Amino acid sequence: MRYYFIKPVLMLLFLLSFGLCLAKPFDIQAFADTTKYNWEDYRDRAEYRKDLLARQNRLQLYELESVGFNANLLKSAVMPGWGQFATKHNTKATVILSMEIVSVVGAIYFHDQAKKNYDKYYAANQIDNINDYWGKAEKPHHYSLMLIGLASVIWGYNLYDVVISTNEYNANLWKEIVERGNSSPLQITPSGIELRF
Amino acid sequence: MTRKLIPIILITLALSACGIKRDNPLDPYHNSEIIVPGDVTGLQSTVLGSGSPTPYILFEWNSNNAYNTDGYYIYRSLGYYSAYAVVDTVLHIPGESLQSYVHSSANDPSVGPGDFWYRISAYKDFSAGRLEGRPSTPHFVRISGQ
Repeated sequence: MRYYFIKPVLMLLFLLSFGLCLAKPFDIQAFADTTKYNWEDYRDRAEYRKDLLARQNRLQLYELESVGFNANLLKSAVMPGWGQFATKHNTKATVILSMEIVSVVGAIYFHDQAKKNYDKYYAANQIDNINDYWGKAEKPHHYSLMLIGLASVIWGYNLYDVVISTNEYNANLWKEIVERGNSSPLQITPSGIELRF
Repeated sequence: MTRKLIPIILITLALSACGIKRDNPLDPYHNSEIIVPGDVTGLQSTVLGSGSPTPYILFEWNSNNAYNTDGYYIYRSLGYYSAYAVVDTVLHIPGESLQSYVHSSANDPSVGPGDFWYRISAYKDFSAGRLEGRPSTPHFVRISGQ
């Protein structure tokens, strides 16, 4: 009763020794062979290390400066043009935002006009007034609906555009970071400022 | 791009198709039971008692059809294009070829020497309210002083 654990321990030892017998010996030579990375000597390895660090730096910069896709989409959904501002497409953003504001303000204005005239139409009890106020209510109501439609189209286009411009911005950003890294002697990296001679 | 725009365009068209409803209960386009009161024609006036302290004006006009008229509004203004105010209402008398109204200084102290413009419109009562027809063209009346 006291030695009930012996059986599984023996089984484990057996499996372990069996596994060791089958295992290949660790090839330290193959592990240490740097030619498989195309490193002929220590200078190649240093060069590779330098390149790797540079790429890591670029990646960190990219992560810092890139615009998040979902957040940008949300920005543009809340306020058309906001996402385009974030991706530095300022002209496009201004046009979209202005058009959206004009459409929405226009729609509100015409809706207000339509409502005022509709209230007068509803209260009218003279045939000319009924027809007159109806005409005055119907026209701005249609204008209001058209402007709401236009605002919806602009909003939809703005969402479509922010997807394109965010992808474009992020793609260009990577190129720009690479170019920046290659051209400038003064490097601003996530770890600090680096001056190359 | 086109596929994305199609639903937006459809929504826009659906929105544009929606309109406010022409639902005034007195609007004949909304309620087929509503009959528009007929136009008032042949308005004539006679000023009586000119120069006396109690002048009055007798108005006469062609009788409307009782089918579309229950009575008339009498409007007056100080100018052709000025605002017209209701001075009285008159019930339509069926079977008469001419309807008449007397605007007297005995009832209305504002009837006195001066130039006035009168218009008359017919009305018809419905369960939803009273619908007024088109007013007649303004009719000039001059009451001479003493």
